[in-house]
Amino acid sequence: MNGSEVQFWSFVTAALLMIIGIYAIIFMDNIIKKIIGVMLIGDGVNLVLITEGFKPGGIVPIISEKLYNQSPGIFQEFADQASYSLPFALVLTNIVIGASTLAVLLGITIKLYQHYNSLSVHEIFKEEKI
Amino acid sequence: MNSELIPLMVIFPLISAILLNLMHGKDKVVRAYGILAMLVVLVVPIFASYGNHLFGAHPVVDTLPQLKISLSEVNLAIEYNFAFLQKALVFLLAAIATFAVLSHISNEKKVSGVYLSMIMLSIAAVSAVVMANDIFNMFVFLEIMTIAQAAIVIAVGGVSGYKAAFKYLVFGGVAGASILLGIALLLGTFGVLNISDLHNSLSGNMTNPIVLTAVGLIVIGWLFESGLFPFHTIKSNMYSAAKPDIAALLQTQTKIVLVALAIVLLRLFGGYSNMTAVMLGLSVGTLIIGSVMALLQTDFRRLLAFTAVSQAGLVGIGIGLGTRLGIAAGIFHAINDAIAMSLLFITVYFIYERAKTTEFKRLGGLLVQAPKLAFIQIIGILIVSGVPPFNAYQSEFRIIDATIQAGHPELGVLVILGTILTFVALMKGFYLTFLKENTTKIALGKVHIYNGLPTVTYVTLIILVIACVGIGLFPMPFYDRAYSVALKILVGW
Repeated sequence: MNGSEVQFWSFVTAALLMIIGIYAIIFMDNIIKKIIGVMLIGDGVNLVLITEGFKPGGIVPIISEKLYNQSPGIFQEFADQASYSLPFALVLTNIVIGASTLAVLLGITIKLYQHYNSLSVHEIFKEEKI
Repeated sequence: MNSELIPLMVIFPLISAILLNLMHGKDKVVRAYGILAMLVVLVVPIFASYGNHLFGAHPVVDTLPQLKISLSEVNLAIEYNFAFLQKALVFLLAAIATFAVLSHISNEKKVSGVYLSMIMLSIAAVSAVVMANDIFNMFVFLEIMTIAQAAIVIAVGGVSGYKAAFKYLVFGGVAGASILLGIALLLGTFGVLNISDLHNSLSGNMTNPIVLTAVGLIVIGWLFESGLFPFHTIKSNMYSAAKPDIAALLQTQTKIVLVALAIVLLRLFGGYSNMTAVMLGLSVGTLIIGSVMALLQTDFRRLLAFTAVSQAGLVGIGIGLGTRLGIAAGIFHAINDAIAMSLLFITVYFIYERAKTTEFKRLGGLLVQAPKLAFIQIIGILIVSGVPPFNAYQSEFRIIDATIQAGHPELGVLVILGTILTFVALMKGFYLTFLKENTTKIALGKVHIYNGLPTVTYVTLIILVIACVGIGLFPMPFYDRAYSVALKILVGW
């Protein structure tokens, strides 16, 4: 599989993750499955960002002063070949945010389960007023 | 020029949040630090000078011939802007948050460090959203705000709080992913995240389908964070599940975020012809649905929650018009309404604290034992309903004027209709709480409504009424500055 194909299938996988996530949120009755759906959507978006930063045959975008002094012309080559590192930084941040959201959601789920003795959305939210 | 106090508005509450978390359990220390921290949060925006702050890097990278590579002129640093609008919004946030913190400290026998920590976290997040000139930074702090708000509601809301927070986080997760996907598409297309750079890159690219998709995705995020239709019930659930003093803070944060994100949307996608139409349509929907839903409620907190949502629609209409007058009036109304709705929430806070309920069937007949509270609530209702000489009149009148100037008098009619519905709904709440005869304990005087409430609550009520009257009598210093912000948005940042 060449670089372009990897990118293409990564985007397809990301779209699938998001669709499955949306399906889980809308149609699944179990709270845990809904939470997994939310996380799948986040993971899909992360995959889009990673794929954006991916460069077929790209190099790690770090250049040392020593390397530059050895070969000053290396910057042009570096600029041509280096992967785009910004999306990776964004993904790291989003993973941390996702983990925090997941922790709070699971904490709420424990409390709701203790109160209702059920994980069914219909059971828990049946008395909800609009 | 870097102004050192600008980042302090975000960094100090963040550090305070961590410290308060660590102090949890040491009651006296939490109380002392909580009061000190709020004092700092309140004072810093007053003394901070206008300008920009750059985190790392440098303002503009030009072509660097000595390196034999060409870098385009982009801002590499994360940038915070601080001007009059940011100062007003951050100060407003700090003022309402100070009340929430002080009321918790004075009311509770044992103060929760974690609870105060979450309030601090939400202050830091909203301040950053208001000042950030970087779309990813904005997204990160929106997510932090969502988690902090959910945690605040969980802390005191009981089972209804858990349910409201669960829904808020699930929808927040989807809305956050939507914003991030929009950002990813813009980043992939233009390679930049700085809002000024994106504004320059986007001009002339409005027909690009990737950009249009990004617009749609980011607008979904804006609707959620602002509590506009179709996410109005999620926000109103949060307000009604929270204690009224916290609901006052939450609705203030929502209005501030609404304005901050709407300005970003207009700066980035204002050139897209259907952008303002979408904002207008959804805002009108929010105003009408919010007002009607408020009328149907049987609980005072839920009634106020839907009123707050409908007022957010009014702000959206002003900004969505996309004209100088409309944007200025929308921004002005966001500030006015945040103050006025906080006033109303605090009057209900009195009732909630003593009666431990805000359901109309268990209230009634409070006029005899709480005439002063009834008087202040009537003033609050008149303010929110846009009656002169109060502040909301000045902004609602200008929104109606802006709709006519923009050639949409029918929108002006809808605004008037929405305002009348809001007035009727609030008067219904007032009647059922103060005037209707009732034989419950509270109505019979077995529970005294004024007993035991901290002085800070009375002082806050008086300050808020003075603010509403003051801005109502002298609106121009505020409106003029809102107008210059509108000019900047339309002419160029």
